[in-house]
Amino acid sequence: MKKTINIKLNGTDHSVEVEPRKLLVHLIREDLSMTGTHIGCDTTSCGACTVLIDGRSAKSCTILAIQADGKEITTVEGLATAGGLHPLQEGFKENHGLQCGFCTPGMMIRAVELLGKNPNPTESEIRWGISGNLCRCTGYNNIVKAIQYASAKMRGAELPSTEPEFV
Amino acid sequence: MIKCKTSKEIGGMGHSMKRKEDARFIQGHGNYIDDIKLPGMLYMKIVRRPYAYAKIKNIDASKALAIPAW
Repeated sequence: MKKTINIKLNGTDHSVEVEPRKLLVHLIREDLSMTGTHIGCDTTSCGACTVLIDGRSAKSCTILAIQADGKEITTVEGLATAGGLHPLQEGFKENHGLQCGFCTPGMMIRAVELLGKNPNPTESEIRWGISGNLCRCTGYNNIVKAIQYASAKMRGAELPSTEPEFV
Repeated sequence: MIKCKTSKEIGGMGHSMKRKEDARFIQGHGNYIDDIKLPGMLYMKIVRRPYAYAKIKNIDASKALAIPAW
């Protein structure tokens, strides 16, 4: 039996009929054709499917679509504004915070909530904050730098150098 | 730290380069295999043989073929 739900996805209202068993990530990717949110593991381990639900980050492969009824969802497609890229997007770009880019949407969405709650996190707070998101390309050093860059930019502080370190 | 012999504008050895593909990845436009939708697309599942070493004499696909594919 299908149920009609209303969600706001990246600022646009949608009224969709969904089966009660449908996962939120499938609603976003298949029904609403926003494929920036990825399915990495389907078991809540990797965080590639992380979206914001009413401002809180959540793994959308572990949430049913009907649970998101009446909620506001933000995905990676909703980060940039008319004014340009989100500071996190800029940070990932400037700091080589991605290779294949599969984990990146989840990482950035997670970091949005992290920086919202803690605008100036320490390195260990960032590492703890993104511990639910896995990256299999680069390791996490540049991802941490990207988030530090975004933190500085959002606070209006001096931007850290994006030059790579050579030993 | 490595000291670069050329300016940032000239680039070259020791300078970092910005990637061209990042713009689409960070905006959710990566287009990975799972993101591609084509008309009449089918899904495949690999059935592996239950024996470590054996000769395939024939394959009975009737059960699989009986499942409606689209």
